[in-house]
Amino acid sequence: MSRPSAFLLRWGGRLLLLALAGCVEPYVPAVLDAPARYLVVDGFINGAGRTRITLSRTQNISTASAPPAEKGAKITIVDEKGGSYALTEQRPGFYVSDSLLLPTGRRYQLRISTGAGVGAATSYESDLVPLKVTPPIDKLEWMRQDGQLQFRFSTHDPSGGSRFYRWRASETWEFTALYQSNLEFRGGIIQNRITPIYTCWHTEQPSTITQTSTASLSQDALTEQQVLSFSERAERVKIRYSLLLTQYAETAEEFAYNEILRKNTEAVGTVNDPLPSQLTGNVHRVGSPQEPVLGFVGAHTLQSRRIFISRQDLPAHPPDFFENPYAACQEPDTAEIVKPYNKNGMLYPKSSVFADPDNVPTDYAYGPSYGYPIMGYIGGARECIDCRVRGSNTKPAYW
Amino acid sequence: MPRLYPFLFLLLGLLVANQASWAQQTEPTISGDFRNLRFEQFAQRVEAQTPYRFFFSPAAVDTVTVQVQASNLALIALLKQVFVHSSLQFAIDEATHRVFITPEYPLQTQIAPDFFEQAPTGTMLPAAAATTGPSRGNRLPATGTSEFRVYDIGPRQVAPASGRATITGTVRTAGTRSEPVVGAAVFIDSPNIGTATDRQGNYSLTVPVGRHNLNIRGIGIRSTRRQLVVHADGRFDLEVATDAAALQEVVVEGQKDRNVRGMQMGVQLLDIKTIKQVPTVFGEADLLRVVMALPGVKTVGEGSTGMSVRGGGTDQNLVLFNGATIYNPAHLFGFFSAFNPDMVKSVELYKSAIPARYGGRLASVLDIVSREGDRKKFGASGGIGLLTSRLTLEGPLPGAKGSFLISGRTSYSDWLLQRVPSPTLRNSAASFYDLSAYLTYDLNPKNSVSVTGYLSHDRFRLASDTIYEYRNQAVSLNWKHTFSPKLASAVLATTSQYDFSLTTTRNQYSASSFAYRLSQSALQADFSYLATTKHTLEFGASTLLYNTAPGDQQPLGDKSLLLPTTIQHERALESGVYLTDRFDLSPRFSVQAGLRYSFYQALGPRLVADYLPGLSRSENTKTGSSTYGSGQVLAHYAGPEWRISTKLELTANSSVKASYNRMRQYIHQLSNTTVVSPTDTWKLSDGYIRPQVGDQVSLGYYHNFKRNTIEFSAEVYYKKIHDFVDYKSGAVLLLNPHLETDLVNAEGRAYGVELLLRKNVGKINGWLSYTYARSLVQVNTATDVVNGGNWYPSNYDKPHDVTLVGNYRFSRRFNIGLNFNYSTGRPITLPLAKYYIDNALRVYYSDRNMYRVPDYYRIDLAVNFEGNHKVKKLAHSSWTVAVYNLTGRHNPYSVYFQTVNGQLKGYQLSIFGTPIPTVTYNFRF
Repeated sequence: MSRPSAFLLRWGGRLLLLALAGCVEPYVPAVLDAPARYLVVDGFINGAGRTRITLSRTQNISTASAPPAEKGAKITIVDEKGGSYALTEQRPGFYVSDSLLLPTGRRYQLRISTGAGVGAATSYESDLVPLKVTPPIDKLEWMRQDGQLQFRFSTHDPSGGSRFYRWRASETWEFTALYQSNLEFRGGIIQNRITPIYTCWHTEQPSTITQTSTASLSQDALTEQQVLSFSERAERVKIRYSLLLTQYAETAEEFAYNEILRKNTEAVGTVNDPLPSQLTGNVHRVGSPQEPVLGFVGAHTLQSRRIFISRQDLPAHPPDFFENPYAACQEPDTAEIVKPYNKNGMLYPKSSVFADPDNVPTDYAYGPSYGYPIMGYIGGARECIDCRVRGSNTKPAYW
Repeated sequence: MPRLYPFLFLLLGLLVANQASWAQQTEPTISGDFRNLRFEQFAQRVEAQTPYRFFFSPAAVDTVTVQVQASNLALIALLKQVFVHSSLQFAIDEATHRVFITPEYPLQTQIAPDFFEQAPTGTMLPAAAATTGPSRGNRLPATGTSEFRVYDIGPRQVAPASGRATITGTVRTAGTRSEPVVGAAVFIDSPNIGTATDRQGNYSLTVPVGRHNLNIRGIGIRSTRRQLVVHADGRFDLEVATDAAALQEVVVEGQKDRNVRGMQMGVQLLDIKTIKQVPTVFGEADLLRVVMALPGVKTVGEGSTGMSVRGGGTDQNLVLFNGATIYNPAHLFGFFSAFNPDMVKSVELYKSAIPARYGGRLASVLDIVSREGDRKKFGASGGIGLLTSRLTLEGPLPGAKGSFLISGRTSYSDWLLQRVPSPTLRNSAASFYDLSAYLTYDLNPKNSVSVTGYLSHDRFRLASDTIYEYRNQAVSLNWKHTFSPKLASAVLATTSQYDFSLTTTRNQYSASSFAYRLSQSALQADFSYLATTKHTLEFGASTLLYNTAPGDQQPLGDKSLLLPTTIQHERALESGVYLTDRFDLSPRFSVQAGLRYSFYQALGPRLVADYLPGLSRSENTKTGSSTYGSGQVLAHYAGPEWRISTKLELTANSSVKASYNRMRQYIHQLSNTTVVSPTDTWKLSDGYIRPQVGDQVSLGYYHNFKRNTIEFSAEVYYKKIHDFVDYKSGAVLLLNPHLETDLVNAEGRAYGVELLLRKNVGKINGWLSYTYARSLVQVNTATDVVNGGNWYPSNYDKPHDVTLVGNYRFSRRFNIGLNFNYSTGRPITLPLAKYYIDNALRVYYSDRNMYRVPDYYRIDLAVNFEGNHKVKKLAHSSWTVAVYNLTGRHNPYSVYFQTVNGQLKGYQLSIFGTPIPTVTYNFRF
């Protein structure tokens, strides 16, 4: 009996492995290599402010490059009573209107004409949509609970006309690199640092679609709705953190569109996911409605609210309380002995080690010799020293 | 009074016979030169001159050479000369002009004088047996048991004016375990007239008066024939030998004639022997896997027992185990079918012309019948495989009037998983078992009862924290009663239940359990009535009560913060009555016309939401709700289901059949995946979800070659499906209190051609089939549209399919099985392009099911070794060595897309991407 059981052990287990773990290979059907380039319209008609529209084209799903911008288009906002407001191209594919205050109670659409400069112009237009006036966010607050920081807000529309809401959160936080740097490699030589790279700000806009409807509630009101939550150990609250919440009132159609878009995008990947559905939006090519055009152009006003969390708003925590993104960092230990200076002054402030962008000099390496007080430079890995790897060193205006 | 009829006939027959013999005073005389003839040649020449007919065993007379010249000799004188030097004896029955040549003793052509004193009064003596036969020893055979005797049917002088007579009778197996032979073909060769025995073994055959060879072929019996001389209507009961060499496995010989002669079309019968020869992935005979190799049946995914029959959905198949519905007949995600091969006798699949006694599903009926336990002695059998082992016990019930059969199967995959050098798999668990029992008991010759119990259970956890568990339970009770030889009934009471649960414990604050349950209780009565020789009626009624608990989520543990959610239960009653008449317009042309009328009532208590009319149902269009009390009908549907089929025999070996049938289905499976998963739920029709209605017309041509050993069939069908359930985009199916807002009623159509070449006997057997089939869907209602409202391929649309299931038997102990399967890849919705909106990557998908995954192609090989066939042996054993997916082709099970480093990449997952060898050991005591 020992032989069969050994056999079972060796083969049975392997079989199960094969059967359950399976075998995964890349799958690239030919149709995906030559996709059509459909127009993508990104943006909305802003009832109170500048309307910003980005035009681009779809790409092959395996390309890694930035989406191709649609240059030279003519875009106008048109209302059903004949009002017309033009947008101008600010940079390739990005079109902006003047700051407008659109009359409410009218329906608006976007008219786009592409390729006007290079021959036959193609016209597109979005469906007429009512301008939804977004009620203000009544309250946005945060609280600590179960080791989490939770952000909640309240809003209400006394007119009861909003019903469908969507939000975008924009998080910004201040953080520092692990090590200070006094030197920089600039203009081919090592010089004293003038670009600050120790303190940075990171801004993040989650691309997840957050929306809800009050259609099933007796009042058009949301109270203490949770919008975001993360661990109180997160690095983002170590110095200072800010959340900007922007609220849009939507039409039922836009709500439904976003709901499907969310399910299509956020729930694809495993064997048992639902079948995705084709979804285009409310923009159509004039005279050729079957051509897919992607994007849904709604019309709304915006309401936003920002809050801050500073270190002193939180309980006093030991320094190692927060998550450390620099756990893999070592003290600057990359040394380059070039003896660039002697007592007579600078001779060859050159560097080959720190010409490599992966290495950042932090300081001089001082030697014991009187004749060569500076032996060379010391530095380390960029991700430990340059905070711009994870953010921007430009302080936001609201900070 | 009916019991006296045979006697009256008998008396009448004797009287007439005696008178006839007196009248035959002038005997015919014979002249001619019969020298140097073999006896057979001699007999032929005498038969040519005279009305006499000779009856003899060719073996007995092959030494006789006739050396006689005759001139106006009487037969008796001639024969005396012929046999003067031979030990052969002859007897002449002048009444019928029959001459019997026998070795040693002459045949008695007259009934013994003391016959009437001996025959016990009141017994049902067959008229035929009583009038003739070798009455040596005064004992009369009750039934036709011999191939070499000639039986007379009906009193010979009462020749009907039509020149035709009807034989009725019962076919039973010989011996102490005598039981009716069901579905055996009973037919004569020329002209081609045949029928099949019904569920009580009864048959009725109208044939021209005269001499015939009556052939009997069927499952589990040895093919045999009886020699008959038919004079008039009469009864002829038959005893046939069981096929002992089959070792509890049956040889489907009746199939051969059924292909051409049977009334049915779109039916495939598989016996367990065929099933066991087909190689499978884990070496275990798998019934559903073999069914999926039949034309018109497509699997929805490798390693899945979900099947699509002629373009229908996976929920449109009625799976019956001894009459009880089994909802999820799968183990371990569908790698195994949940029927123990040791229990099964045969599987019958109806794809079109579904008999009227079945209802409730659109596409097919899969009728699985368990075998009976041994009525003579106790026995045990079993098998040891890589993942499962099974054991079967059987034996007689007291009095040898019945038998029991208990069979169990269990996996040890849990134990194996613990030994796999992979931490994720070590944290996994997968176990299952199934248990079935079958008891049958004959109360008396007219009443028999049988009880079936079935339980299957699965539990698995795959490197995650969620435990899945599901269970099928079924009990059926069957009572068969024979009122008279012409009227028989079967009453079937069944109850089935399917339930599953999910348990999540990773986060103690959100730990929960989810449970789903569906149960049904049904009562059905079926009658068959041989009204006249031309009409066979079947009628009956059934009623079925559904109860579902569509979802119950409960927090688990003290710390769980989850709020309990319970979706309100659903109840409904489905009933039906039916009547079918099989009408033989001529021996070649028959019509079977049936009507089933089904009624459905969705019952309270229930709270039903109301929606704005004319708008897509959603939470936003809800206006209020109505309350229905317990037992109150909240929705009602009813409709006729026509079942009509005709058969026209073109020649002895070919026929054309056509059928039309309509089916109605009131229960719908909800699945958000293309493969069948244990978490699929079933929804009952209600005010919003209308029943599905399917119409199918089909036409077939059938031809048998080489003495019925090779059969060919070609069937064409067109199907329309009305109101089947499809989903809105992103439908939520579990724990959804307003499911009607996520479902839409869709239209479907399917058409195709199925070609099948099948050989059931001989060293090489198996089948080759080619199917061209399309299955299309349209969602184009006023409120919901998919793919612009155009027809698009359904998930089951795989146009081309070639299947070869072959077996070559080198000897009785050694055979090789080969499978080949090719099919078009199934449809898929592809992400065609990507784009950015709001700085987020979005994907543009093609129209639904616009593209296809790569084609499917696989070869399997199995070698079966049997131990020696000595009768006296402790255990009989056999080994099966098989390789699944011999070429190791990476057939895609699933194609999916994932974002990796900001790039959306496509992957295909092959479950069985390498050749998989298996070894199974089977034994039997």
